Amino acid sequence: MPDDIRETVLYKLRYTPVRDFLRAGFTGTLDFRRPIEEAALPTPIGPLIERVVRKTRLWRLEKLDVTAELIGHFADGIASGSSPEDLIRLFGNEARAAQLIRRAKRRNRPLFWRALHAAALFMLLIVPPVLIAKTYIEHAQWEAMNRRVDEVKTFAETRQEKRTVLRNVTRPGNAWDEYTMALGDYKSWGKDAVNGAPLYMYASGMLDKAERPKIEKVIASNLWRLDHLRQGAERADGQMPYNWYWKHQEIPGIISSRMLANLGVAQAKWLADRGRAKEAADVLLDVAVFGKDLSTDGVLMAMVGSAVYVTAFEELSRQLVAGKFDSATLSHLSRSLETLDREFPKLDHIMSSVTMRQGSYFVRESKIPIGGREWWSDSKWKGWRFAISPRGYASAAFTELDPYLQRFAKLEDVPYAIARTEAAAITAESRKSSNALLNDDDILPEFTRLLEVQREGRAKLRLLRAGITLLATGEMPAIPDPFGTNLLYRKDANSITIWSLGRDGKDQNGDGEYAPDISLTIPR
Amino acid sequence: MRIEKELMRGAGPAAVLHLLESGEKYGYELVQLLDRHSAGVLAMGQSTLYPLLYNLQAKGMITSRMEKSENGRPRKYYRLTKKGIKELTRHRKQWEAVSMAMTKLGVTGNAR
Repeated sequence: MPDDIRETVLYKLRYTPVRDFLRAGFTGTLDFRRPIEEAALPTPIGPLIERVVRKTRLWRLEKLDVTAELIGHFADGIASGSSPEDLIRLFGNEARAAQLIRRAKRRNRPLFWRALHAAALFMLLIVPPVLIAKTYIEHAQWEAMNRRVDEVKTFAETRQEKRTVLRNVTRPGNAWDEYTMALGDYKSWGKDAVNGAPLYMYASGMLDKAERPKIEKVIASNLWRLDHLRQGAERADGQMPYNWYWKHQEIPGIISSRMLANLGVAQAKWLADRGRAKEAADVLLDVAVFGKDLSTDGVLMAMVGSAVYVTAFEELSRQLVAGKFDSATLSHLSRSLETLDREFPKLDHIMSSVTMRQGSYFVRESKIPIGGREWWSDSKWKGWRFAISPRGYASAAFTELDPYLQRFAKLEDVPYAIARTEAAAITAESRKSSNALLNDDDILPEFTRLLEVQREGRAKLRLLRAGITLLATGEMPAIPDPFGTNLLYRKDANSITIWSLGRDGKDQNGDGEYAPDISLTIPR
Repeated sequence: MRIEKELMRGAGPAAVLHLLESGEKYGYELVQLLDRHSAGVLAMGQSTLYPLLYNLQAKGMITSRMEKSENGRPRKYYRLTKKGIKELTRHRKQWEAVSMAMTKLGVTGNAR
């Protein structure tokens, strides 16, 4: 290269450290045009080499290498006497040359780079379709979840929970207007009613005689609650209203519900002890209606409702065994209990409530914005799958949950042994879920336990029905046993024992040490 | 006479490896030798020689080194590796087999 070119301002600008700095280089030696210019080849050759090298789109060092090679090639050609035109002609198609050089040069790159390149290519070809498919499936699941939740919600919110009013005249309106007033706030019950569960102790007959007057005062001071409960039991509609609070359905206080039931039983006991058995029976029937109305909403309330039911049935059984009821009361009880049995809370109702409540919760979870505080705190326990896509995670949870609930809902009239096996299978399958939303006990119930509780409540009701019929007619009615075929009975010298096989499904002749039959013994 | 592209694809590497057997050579030298020794039959487009060399290098059959030529320019010299020698032997056997078969068939020579 002539020295005068090196001194021009243009040259200095192009090949000084300033330009290299701007191009993230240091010395300017990585520019392949520099050796071409320095080689001072005849005019058509220099630009040809430049075009070929530029089209290779190789790394700078590779370009430099190719440049040096081509400069050498043409310089040797010229030195051997060939004309530039001949050399260019013999060189062939420049675009094709650039393409072939690029391909071949890349094969010389380090193994690490080629592996990385192959991986990148794989990612480019595989990841987008997978992501698209994942997004599509997630969206489809999310839409299906929303549709299903809306459908169940509409059904639940518009269904009139049909239940017969057992006494007096049916009054219009919803029972929960009254129940809500009866329940009040947990704290509103006062210390005397709460500490040591005195109402339960009184109701179950475990309270010392000396303590009774004190608790009777508590009962008397809370009778207004019982009035509300009884007025609620006369209302035409028993469906718990769906009050949504931030996508959560409000539920009645669990402790208050139990205390209200115990209050009813305590009052019934008080009445029966004073010879007012008919009034006592009516109070207990109203408590049972309250139990049924509680049971319409989800697993937890079904459990609470069942406990309330059982509280009422057990006191009715005690009074029946104690011979408190006259024939008119027995006849009234018989009809009422038959109605309660017919309208006993069904698994499909309970499960549809679970679908609605949990579905609404999952819909809310699916809308948690990524990057927010809630997303951050939830990601810690739900894991990376939630962090990547709350929508996909929540939809997947619902897609898993709903079939379990639907399967369980079909077990209402299935023989106990089969139903229990299926419930155990559903529980086991659901527990295997890797979705943290389903590992929460509040969301996925112990299906076996729920089945047992529901059937135990019904068994106690049926034992009572059978006992009343037996007392009234002297004949044992054929009443289906929720745990077996029909309720069984045996006559002893002074008593008749009626029993259901209980949760073990085995006949222990009305007894059993560890898994006892559920029995009712009536004096003859 | 020009050789079909597909045939050239097989013959090119064998010819280059053979030329390098006698010692290291630079690009333009190989171009000239190919032209001269094959009477122009294997004279490939000069631009295709370099990709061919780079491919052989990627496969470890040849190596290269830069050295200044007589006129002071850097020049890249190529030479055979052990792997290249083995590959050349393999090529030779194959070409001999092909040549014999062609002769027996009467495609080439005077077998008939």
